[in-house]
Order: sequence, then structure tokens, then C-alpha cells
Amino acid sequence: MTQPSNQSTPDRIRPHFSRDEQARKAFSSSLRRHVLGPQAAQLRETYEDKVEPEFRRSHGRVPKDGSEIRRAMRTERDFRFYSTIRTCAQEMTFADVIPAVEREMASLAAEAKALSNDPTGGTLTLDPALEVPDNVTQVDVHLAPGGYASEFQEQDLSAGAIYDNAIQVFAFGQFGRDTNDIGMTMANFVRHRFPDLEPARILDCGCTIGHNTLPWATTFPDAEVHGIDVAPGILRYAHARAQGLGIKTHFHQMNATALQFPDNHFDVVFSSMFLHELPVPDIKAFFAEARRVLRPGGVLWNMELPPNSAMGNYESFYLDWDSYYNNEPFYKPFRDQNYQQLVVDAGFSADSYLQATLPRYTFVGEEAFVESLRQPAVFDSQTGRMDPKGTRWFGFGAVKQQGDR
Amino acid sequence: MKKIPRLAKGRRNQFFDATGVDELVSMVLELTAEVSVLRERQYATERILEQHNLPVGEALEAWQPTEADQAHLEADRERLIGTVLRTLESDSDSPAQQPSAAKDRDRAA
Repeated sequence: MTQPSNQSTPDRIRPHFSRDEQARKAFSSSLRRHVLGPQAAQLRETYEDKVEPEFRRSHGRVPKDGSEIRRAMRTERDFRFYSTIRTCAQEMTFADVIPAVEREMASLAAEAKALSNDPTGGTLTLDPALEVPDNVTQVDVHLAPGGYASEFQEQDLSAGAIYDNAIQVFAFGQFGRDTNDIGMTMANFVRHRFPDLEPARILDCGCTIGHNTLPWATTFPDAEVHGIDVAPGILRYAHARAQGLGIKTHFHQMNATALQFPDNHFDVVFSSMFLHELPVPDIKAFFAEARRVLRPGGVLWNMELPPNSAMGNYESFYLDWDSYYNNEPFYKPFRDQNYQQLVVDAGFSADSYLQATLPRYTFVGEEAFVESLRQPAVFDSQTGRMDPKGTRWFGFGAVKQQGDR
Repeated sequence: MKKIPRLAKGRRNQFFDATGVDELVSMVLELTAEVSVLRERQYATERILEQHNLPVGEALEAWQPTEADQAHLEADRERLIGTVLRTLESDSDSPAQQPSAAKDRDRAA
């Protein structure tokens, strides 16, 4: 049975933010809510009332895809302001939390070390020989200064502390009270969709600070839950965070394209908001590895942005903003893929492919969530996007067939 | 212990054709953030004083800053200016930032 969620940052690794710093964080959240709410709505009106009719007049047809809309929108005043304000809000999200993390870097590391000894049974296994891939080191993804793999002292977990605190500003509540709604929604989807699965081992790939890993441990209390990522600082933080919350989880520094687990080992391989940060060949390598480590009957399940092919052209343009302007170069190339083909290429059978658009579990509750599972997938302006008026998460995956090796 | 960079590496997004407009937007928003911080602090202060039966309006008008007050306020103004103008700075600890900063200078020249 699902436990009540209480998975926010433990006090012992929460940096102290002054009253003024707290007010700054609240402002940046409000600014994000504004730019993704009313300003995004105005952007759409500008497109529908002005840009699209002008395009039809000059081209004799409507724009054929999101890229053509972007080219038509780029010179619009509303697009320029939407984009520059969104960029600023993104920068402020990090600027608001970095000073506090930097001030308390040493004491956070000491607390993490102490928490590591708590008897939850959770573990952290780092691999100093692992080469952190270029897609993580060459770009400061999400405009995060220093990126996700930098270390600033011995045993550093600053990158994780920055991520955890920044995501709370960034999400303006849209990821749930404990910023774990994606994990809660996806774990509960698997619980209801595969009632006989009874998972013994679950793997979360590209887990960062484990905020969407821990819901698997609370949703399936009998399962052994593992999270992997490539960067050491966020994993140290993930481990400390799980220890502080008393949730037994095993974190490993490992690349999802070369999993160090035996064949047929896991019942669920999960990822969330991970694939769109990978070059397509790495996605394929990960899926092949996922299939290898899944037992027959095991489930690959990815929470992701919806594919461009399922979305209207305007939604494609709107969602792909991040690929061009938020240092996420692989975001659009991923969204341009046929997701079913990606899992088929990895050896899963085409008819085992599944996808769903899901209401947020921690917002709607168990009953409405279960009711929603009877509905077909919906691809509209609230799918996969942080719309203050409502959000629907997208997931896709496949089942390793009985008899597969 | 190293300093955590304050800017993402690479060239900053530019959405306006005219040089400086994107940075101006950033300054305006930073300034708005600071005003918001002050408004929260002021609001909270007044509520706290009221809770202690100290109506603060008249006392504020009569208040004279000491030298220490003046030094504090000066330092605070410097921090505020640094924050508002952050977008114009290059991050000396972030080598990857330098090429784009150089490009920006070239464009400005």
C-alpha cells in the first residue's frame, strides 16, 4: 500500500537561507509562474491572432512543424520578452541558492558524512574511474552554473544541494510539495498497470538527487531500489538525502549505457526527464542495457516529454524552446524520435510498447488517479509541460517478453 | 574549497537585435526581485512591531543614522548594485565564459 509521502529535504542538509534569500526565492518562483502562465498564454495568442494568419497569407499554407513556427516567431516582440524573461528566471533560480550552498559547503559535507552512518541500510558506491560523458561536462545543462558534475571541495555535494534547492524554486510547486510528484505518479502507474509484477528490484537511471527514486521505495516497500547517475556530487547528496529521510536506497556512480548489473536482474528499469539530455545513440545503448538487465516480464518505464509527432505544431515549438535556449541540445533531437521505434530497436517487441499521459498523483489522489487510467492518452497544451493551470505527465516504455533472453 | 561559478558557461541567450536589451531586462528583473525582498521585509517588520505595540511610522521619520548605520547601508547598496548589474560581469573563475565575453566586447566595439 502507498505510504503517505514525506520526502522533502531533511533539515540536516538544508542550508540556512536568510529572510531576504527566502524572499528572493519566492520572487523567482512567482516570476516563473508568471512567464509560464499568463506570458505563455499571450505568446500563443500572438501566434494565433497574428503570426499564423500572416504566415498563411505569405506561404499559402500553415506552418508544417514547430521549427517553422519558431522561425516565424523569433522576431515577435512577445517571443523576445517571453524568452529573455524566461532566461532570466532560469538564471535567478540558481543565483538564489548558490550563495547559501557555498557558505555551508563544508558543514553540508560533514552532515552528509554523519548521515551516511545512519542504519537505514542504504548505500553509496562511487566509481572514481568512471568517465563523466561529454553531454554532462561540455554544457552547463539548464543554465546551471558549474553544471551537474563539478566538485568544489573534497567529498563535495554542492551540485546536489544546488539542484535540490533550485528545483524547488524552479517548480513553483508544480512537482508537488516534496518535488517528487513525477516519481510518485510513475511508480503508482506501474503499481496499477502491472498489479502482479511484485517488483523485487527497481533501477532508476539518471536519478540525480533521487527525488524521483525514493517514491519507488515507498510505493514498493518490499523492493530493493537502486539509483544511478554519472556525477559524484549529486550522488553524495542523493545518498545523504535518502539517509536523512530514512528511506533505504542504493546509489551508484554508473553510466546507463554500460550498466554494471547482471542480466535479468531487475523487475523495473525507470528513468525520468533523463532521455532528453542524451544523444540518440546513448538512448539506444541505454535501452539495450535496460532490456539486458530486465527479467522477462520486467518493465522499462520512462517519464519524458511527449514526442513531437503526437503534439500539435504549436506545442512542439513551445516545448522545444528549452533545446535552443536552456542548454539542452539533445532535447529536440530526442523529441523528434519515434519512441516506439527506439524501444523496438533495443530488442523489445513492438506490441509490448506502452505509453500513457497521467494526472499528477500527489495532486489528484489515489481515486482520481485510478479513474484516469481508464482514459486514453491525451496530447494537448497541458501534456508534459508545467502549465500553472494543470499538468499531465507523459510516460512510455515496454515489457520484456517471456521467453526473451 | 573553490568558489562556485555564478554564470553558466557559453554565450548568453540574446533575443533582441540591439546590443544590451537582454541585459537590461535582466537588470530590471533583478531590481524587481530586490524590491520584492524589501517589501517582504518591511511588511514583516511592521507586523512584528505592531505585535509589540510599537507603531513605527513616526519613529521612522525622526530616525537619524549613526556612522555604523551609514556604513551598513553603503555596503548594502554596493551589494544591490552588484546584483542588479550581474549580467554585465564575466566570471573570472569560469574560463569557458571568457571567449563569449570577448565576443560580446567585440560586438560592442
